[in-house]
Amino acid sequence: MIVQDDFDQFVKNYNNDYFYLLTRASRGSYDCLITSFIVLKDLYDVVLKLHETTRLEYRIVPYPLTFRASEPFLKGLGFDDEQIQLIHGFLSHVRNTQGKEFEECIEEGVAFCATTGTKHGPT
Amino acid sequence: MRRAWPSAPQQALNMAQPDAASLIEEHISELVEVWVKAVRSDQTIQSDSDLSEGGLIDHVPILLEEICSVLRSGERPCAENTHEARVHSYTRFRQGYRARDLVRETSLLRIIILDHLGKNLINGSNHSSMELFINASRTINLYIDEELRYAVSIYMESK
Repeated sequence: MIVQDDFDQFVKNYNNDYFYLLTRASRGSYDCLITSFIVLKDLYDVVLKLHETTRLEYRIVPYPLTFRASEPFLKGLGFDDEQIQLIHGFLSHVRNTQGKEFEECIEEGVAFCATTGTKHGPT
Repeated sequence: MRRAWPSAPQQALNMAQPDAASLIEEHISELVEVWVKAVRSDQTIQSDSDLSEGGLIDHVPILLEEICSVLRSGERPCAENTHEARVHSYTRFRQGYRARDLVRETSLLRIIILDHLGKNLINGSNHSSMELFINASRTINLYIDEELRYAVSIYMESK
């Protein structure tokens, strides 16, 4: 049985990973980023499910995993205008390289990594 | 053994509502504009005074798009399909919005969407349009309630 302190750590790790991926997007480093987001979405689903089905609390609030991050949200996380533009650019990048929207890739859990030429999905 | 309540929301919500979704989607800017005016003129909401128009509008257009997508899918609103609603609450929480102001502005949004649908869907005593309105209202109410459930968690539980 997972205890509150473990859950807090779990959420903290998720938050760090999410922020790291957004930071990568904000630098225009898009290679295989979609695959990382797919893995992170699984982690996020676990956080939500644990909170929904147990007595665990959001003592640390998980960043909401948004597919269409708005400017006030991203500014609240400390990104500036240029970085926000690059984060939004990632969504166009996904559309161009995957032939579908970011949220579709995330929901389907499968993405094509252009750099390595391989298809990634849950194992 | 207790019998399941026959009209439990989980079972009742399985019909896609594309007409209601289109009615919202085609008027997102207008709905947001009406909502901004309603929030600005509501004397009981004070947290908005420090926000610019962009800061106030925040994630609301994206949230409306997500409502349309849930209406189209016919799914029951739950944690898995209300991502953008959580972004709205989370951003307000981080902006220092008081919880009661978030509830009030979300309530205004609910009323504005339902009024808009009611005006456009209910034609006289047409039974099917009434049914459409009721089904769409149910989904929208559950969606907004899901957001408020999340808001209560983050306002009450976070340290």
